[in-house]
Amino acid sequence: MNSVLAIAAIYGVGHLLVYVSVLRRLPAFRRERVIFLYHAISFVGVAAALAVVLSLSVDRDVRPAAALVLAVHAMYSLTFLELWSLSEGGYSLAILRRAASRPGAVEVSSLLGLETVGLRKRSVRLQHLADLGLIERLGATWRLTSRGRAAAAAVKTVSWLVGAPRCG
Amino acid sequence: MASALLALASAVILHACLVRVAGSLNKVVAFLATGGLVGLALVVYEIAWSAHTTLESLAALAVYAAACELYIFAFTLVVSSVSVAVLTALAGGPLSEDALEHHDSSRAMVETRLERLAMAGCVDLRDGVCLVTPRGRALAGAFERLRRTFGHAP
Repeated sequence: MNSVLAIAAIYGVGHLLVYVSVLRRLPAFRRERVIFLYHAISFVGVAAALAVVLSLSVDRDVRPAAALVLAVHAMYSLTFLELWSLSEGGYSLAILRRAASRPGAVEVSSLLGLETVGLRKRSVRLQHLADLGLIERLGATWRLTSRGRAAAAAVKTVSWLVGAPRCG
Repeated sequence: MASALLALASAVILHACLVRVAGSLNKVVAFLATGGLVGLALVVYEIAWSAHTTLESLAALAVYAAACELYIFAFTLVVSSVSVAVLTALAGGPLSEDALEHHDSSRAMVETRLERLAMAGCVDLRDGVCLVTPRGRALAGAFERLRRTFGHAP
């Protein structure tokens, strides 16, 4: 069981070091899809490896060790992907960057010009959502697919739980 | 693992109650409070009452922490993501790109972000001008370093 935890720890540190020392310099790893797959494939791979270990081992500690490893991997990947995505750009960061780049106060009206960020994001996101099979083009309009309707229902449930009417 | 899942359900329900009672409270802060409290209860349970081994208890706590992070990720995404805004807009029926823009305007999104940054103490909004606070400058600096680390375009 200790060997499972040790191998998992070495693997996790290696996964991060390979990114920091090599992969982050590659243009492909500046794309959201690639960076997501780097973590998703790792998580699925670790889960598959642990499933094999579980099926072969009679040690009763292997099961909680596997759960511990997967939970830590999930936290590492979620934190990494959130920071990557947040620092890539968005309204809040664009506002802070623009305002912080000037010495004094900034006219709010000049910051409202950042709406072009949203227009660019929206057109990119429409294509991403279509690639994921959540929406589809119908003539001049977009509509939800059946998978998209399920996702929208999940969104509504979470919105209701946190008492948040959808806003931008 | 049952104790971790039960703890998560408790944290989610407590959070749902808290944000309804204290509507002005930041939702992430509210979840950190309820999730932290439930997490503490889970630690006490695992140490004092459960028959779990140390490893089983550690696994339960790690699963609970990961599930909480996933939940925070999910609801912050629901509240602020452009993609989610598109999905919810289309839930009412097919829309053109122009209608999507009208439904959830980019200008309104910028205004909402400005208000949130002001509430978080990162900017001061007064008389039509925006002044970045020291906290905001520190945050902007931290994200600039992250941008360079991740190799994002300047």
